[in-house]
Amino acid sequence: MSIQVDPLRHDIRNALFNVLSVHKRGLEIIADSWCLLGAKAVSIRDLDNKLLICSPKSMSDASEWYDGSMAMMWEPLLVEGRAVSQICVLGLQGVYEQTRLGASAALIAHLIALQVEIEQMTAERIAQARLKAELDLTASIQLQLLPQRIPSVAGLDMYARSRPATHVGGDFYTFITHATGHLMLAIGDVSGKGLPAALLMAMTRTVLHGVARFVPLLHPQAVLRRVNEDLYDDFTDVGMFATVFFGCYDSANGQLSYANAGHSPIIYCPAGGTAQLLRADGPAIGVLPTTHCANITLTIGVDDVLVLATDGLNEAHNVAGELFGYERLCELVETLRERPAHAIVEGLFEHINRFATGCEQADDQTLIVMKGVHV
Amino acid sequence: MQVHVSQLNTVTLLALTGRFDAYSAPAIEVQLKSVSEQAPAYAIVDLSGVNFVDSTGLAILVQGMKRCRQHNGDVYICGVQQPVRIIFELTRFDTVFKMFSTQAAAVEACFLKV
Repeated sequence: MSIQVDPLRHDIRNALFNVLSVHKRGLEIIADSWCLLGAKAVSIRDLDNKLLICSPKSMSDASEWYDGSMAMMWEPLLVEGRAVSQICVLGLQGVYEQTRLGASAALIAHLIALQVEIEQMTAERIAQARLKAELDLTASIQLQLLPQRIPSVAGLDMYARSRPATHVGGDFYTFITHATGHLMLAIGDVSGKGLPAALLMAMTRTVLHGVARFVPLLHPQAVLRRVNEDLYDDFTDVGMFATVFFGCYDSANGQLSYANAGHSPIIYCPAGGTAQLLRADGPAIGVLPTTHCANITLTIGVDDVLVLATDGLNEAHNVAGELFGYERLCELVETLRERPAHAIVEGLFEHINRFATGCEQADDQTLIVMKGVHV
Repeated sequence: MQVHVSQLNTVTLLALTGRFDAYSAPAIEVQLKSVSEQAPAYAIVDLSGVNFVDSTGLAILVQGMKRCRQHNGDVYICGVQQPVRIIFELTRFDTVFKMFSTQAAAVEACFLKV
């Protein structure tokens, strides 16, 4: 046996089903009760005031049928507390019918608003998930740009590690083996953090690699001067800069020739001596059109330790807002200097972690430790 | 961070207090940009009340300095205290900017230029 549903009731049911994908049985009851209560027409408009449903279908809006002989009930659609559109039900004028129709119209309005909110949240979640996936990919690409292994160099015990504050960061370090077998290395830090810094970090690293291979050995100052010339305009356009320490190590005599464009902290701790901060000899890349870094030579003898760090270490702060600072960093290097390079790096990170317990890591932190050993 | 902006004849004085970092940098960027669009494009940034400056803060000063120099002006820095002083010295930003120990000295030098 088939149940006959009158055409208006059928229309309203279908119309509500089209708008609301959930609570079908509830919608059926509401559509039926509207008809039983004498509803003559229903229309619902969406966020952009576009007609979602109108029943009977022959009209463009239920309100068009309003002729004064019926009651017209308006119900706003509130999405996140804001009225975005309305629902309109035309019905009989009786108080009972009006109250019921009004109440059920309010319920439908509430359901539609809820659905719109859910759809918006879902769209946001999808966008967020996509963004996170892209960030994860960027982070893994950036990780690939860092050395995958520490080169083994006669006379040196070396270790390096970088940990960005967010997914990606502006710190980098790199090792380049020259055709002659000399080791070239660099550590750098692009101002700011996050994606903008990461983009410029990749660019700086690429230019540095390109330049380093074609500049005569043991002229790190010439490398940084050329890198600055190549990048100055780009850095100026975006209002950023990059500090870079670039060195070339000669195993034959244990000497490191370096130039330092605004990078700190660099800590040199000679065997048996005190740890000292080495000042840069020129400003960062991208600050002045021409830089005047100098070539400086440092001998890394047995048990001498050179720590190349980024400012995320000395700028780590504790819950009281106190900075870790250069002094603590130097003292810590003195305390850890007896250990192998790997243990010095991990020891520094561990102490800074302990100091900054309860605080979010505010900036990228990168370390290269070079320690002289017997050949 | 607090920023106190004042005008000494044609020179803009920005007196900063607190942490000069990524969160407070945009406000200074706006101020320095507007100085660079004036004539003469001279600003004095008084850092005597600043206890911390990060690379974003420094980048804003560099950007402001470049813009002002393009318009024949400059950004002078004064009153730098420890531990900000050591950052300027280690990174050689002390050679990039004209640095003055007091605001009065910076103002005097500025007035000779404008």
